[in-house]
Amino acid sequence: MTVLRRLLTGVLCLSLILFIAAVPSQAAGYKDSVIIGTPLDITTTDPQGSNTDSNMILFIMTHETLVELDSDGKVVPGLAKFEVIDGNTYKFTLPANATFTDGSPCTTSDVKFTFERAQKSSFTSPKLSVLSGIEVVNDHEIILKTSQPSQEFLMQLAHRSLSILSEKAITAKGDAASNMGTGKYALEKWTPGDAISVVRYDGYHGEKAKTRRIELKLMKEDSSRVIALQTGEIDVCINLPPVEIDNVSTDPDLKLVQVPSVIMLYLTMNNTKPPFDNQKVRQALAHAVNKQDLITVGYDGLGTVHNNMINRGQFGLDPNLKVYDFNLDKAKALLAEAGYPNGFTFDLAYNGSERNLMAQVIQASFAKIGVKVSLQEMESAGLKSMLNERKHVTALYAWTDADGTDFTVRSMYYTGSGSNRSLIANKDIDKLIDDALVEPDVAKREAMYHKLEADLTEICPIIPLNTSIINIGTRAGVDGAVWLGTAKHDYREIHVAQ
Amino acid sequence: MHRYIFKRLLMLIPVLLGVVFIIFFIMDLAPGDPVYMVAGDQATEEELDALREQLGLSGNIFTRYFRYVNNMLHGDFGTSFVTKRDVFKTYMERLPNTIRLASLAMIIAIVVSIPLGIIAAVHQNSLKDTASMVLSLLGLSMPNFWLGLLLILVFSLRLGWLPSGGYTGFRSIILPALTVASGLAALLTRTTRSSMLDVIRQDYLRTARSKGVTERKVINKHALCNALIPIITVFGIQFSNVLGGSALAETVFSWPGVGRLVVDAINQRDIPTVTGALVMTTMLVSIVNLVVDIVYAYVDPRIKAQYTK
Repeated sequence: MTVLRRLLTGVLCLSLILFIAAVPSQAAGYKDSVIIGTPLDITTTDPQGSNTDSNMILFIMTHETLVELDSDGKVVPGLAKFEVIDGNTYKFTLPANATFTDGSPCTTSDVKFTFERAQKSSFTSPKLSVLSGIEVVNDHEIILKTSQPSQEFLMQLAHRSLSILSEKAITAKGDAASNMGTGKYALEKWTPGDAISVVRYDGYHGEKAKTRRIELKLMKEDSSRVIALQTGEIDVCINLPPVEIDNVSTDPDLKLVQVPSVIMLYLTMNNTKPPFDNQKVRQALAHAVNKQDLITVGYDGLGTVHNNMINRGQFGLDPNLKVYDFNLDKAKALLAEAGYPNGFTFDLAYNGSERNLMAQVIQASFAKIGVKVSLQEMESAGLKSMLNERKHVTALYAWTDADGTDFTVRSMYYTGSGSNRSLIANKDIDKLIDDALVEPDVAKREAMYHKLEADLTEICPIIPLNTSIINIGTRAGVDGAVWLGTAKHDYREIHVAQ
Repeated sequence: MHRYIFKRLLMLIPVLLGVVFIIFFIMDLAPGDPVYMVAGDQATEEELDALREQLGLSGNIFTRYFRYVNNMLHGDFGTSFVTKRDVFKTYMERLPNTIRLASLAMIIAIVVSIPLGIIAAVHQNSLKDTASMVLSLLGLSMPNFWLGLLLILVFSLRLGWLPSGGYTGFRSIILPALTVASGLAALLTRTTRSSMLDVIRQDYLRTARSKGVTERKVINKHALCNALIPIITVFGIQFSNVLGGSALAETVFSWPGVGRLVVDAINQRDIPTVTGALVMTTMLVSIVNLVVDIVYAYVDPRIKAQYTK
């Protein structure tokens, strides 16, 4: 018996030693791996392969752009230092020790290759529409020239879809090698529809990441995601449903993070189809929407009414803009003036459960002024296809980009733009947009955007509705992540103190 | 027997061609041009046309159908519009997870349902019978997603015994398998009971008893063997269903299986993934059905005799 006991004790001790040896070493006092539960799938590892926000979260970790935006939206050096030589010329200097995550050096040839590739992609080419020349000075210096002065060119370069790619790897291995950048992390494993993980790149040219491994785990079911956070299976729960907020905020092991979203929900009306080709009809409907009610039903009261034509936080947003107050009498009067005293009927397309609730409130509200709304719930792919094919009448849709004001107004309101969902075609508006882009004087440029917003509000091509609150649940020790209103959170510095 | 199997495998060809055509037809009816999903908002007409050609979306439905079938016969199931990955490879990454889940769920269902069904039939109209029927009614009535969440709340959150989701080893299969098995076990219990009740009243069982054969042997050997055909039929159908994917259970447990792959692909209008995944699932289901038919022959010599003829 004693021999057996000794043998068992020996085996147990040996197992313990082997187990301890097998545990990966951890950076000073930080948890080795951070797991983030997210309802949004990563759909590509190629920065130029889509504009989807959830994908940008990955590229922030694995790739770098020449410049970046700080928390105030100011352009700061990213992979490169920059110098504005004149209104049309920009010089960038790469650090001598910048390498891709396979160890190969990152040179200006890679920058040139990246931008030339981006000019061929329908996702990224609009961001480089003013880029007219690329001049490689040497391995570390490059000059970019624009066809016209642009106050937002640098801002566009900060967009993650313009992350610098390896020319050598893509030329040798094809587009799949676009998953490699010069970022703090390297892609470890991607199982589409399940999880994607990145590991710290120890050859990074700047300060190394604190956490060795980050995993983004796809968990579409809200309740399962919250329970996984409570049990400690994940460290971060993205998009906490409002109903779970109390459970998280009262749990001492968890932390609630609330970030005002800058993503604007709006009601777009096809300005080319009657009766929405009539400005008074559009204004009447703007008076007939109770925006606060939409927040109450759609976001459980957690949101902000939005009246501006651009996203909150963007340069040029006018806080004193004229507001279409909720006034059914005014709405009825405008409808009568427009020649629709008895109202009309139209289809409202939308997707998702929150917007379904909001659409019902809009339907009830419009019914009070004699306008009948036929609700058309669609899956997101169908809705987007319908909008892109310009077959819609009206739709509930969102504008997610909050970086460059020009990019927003040019995309949403410029004649013929792909994201111009209202199909507004107004030469004065186009001219204002063009003029504001090249105006070097900041105050004048701000005034131009104020005028643009005022004019757009009068024309009323869309009805801005609201922005929500982004709710995030984390384990108590989670720190270092930068939570952003665009939902493109920055996890490069995330860590959990042990 | 070999001839029969060969014939059945040959029959797979028209079935698959039909399935592909139906999928093509349904996807074609759905509103919207998928090329817009791939190209993004700012693509020009020229870019859209070029992309349509590149993705094989140009031409009418028949042209696209024959092009797809031709590629399929060469083992090419296409590339996902969304992830730009090979559809066959993506499906094969998910299939083992689905087979794991389906197999464990079926094992649990059989282990629970057959004894329960036999007990219910042998003790017809007794308390045991009523209890097993109430249990099976509960199993059939409970929605999968509700039961799944309930199991997560109890076993993951309250007791902390099992993980709440994802695939992280054997422990992570238990809850999704129990969830999927609940409905299967209920159906199999009811089938076993009714099949056994049909057999249990037959004269040959009375004869066996009168010859002094023990009751256990009468039930397990003579009755159960003869009651197995309907049970195997239901088992085959249910196994095929689970292999096709238990999208709800997979969503609740973040289980990376085939069901979620298909549902996500449909939502994203990812035609190559939807078509490829459904064609491969059809193949799988046809093979399961063939295996079930072969098992019939081994369980019932009369059927084997028919095959031999």
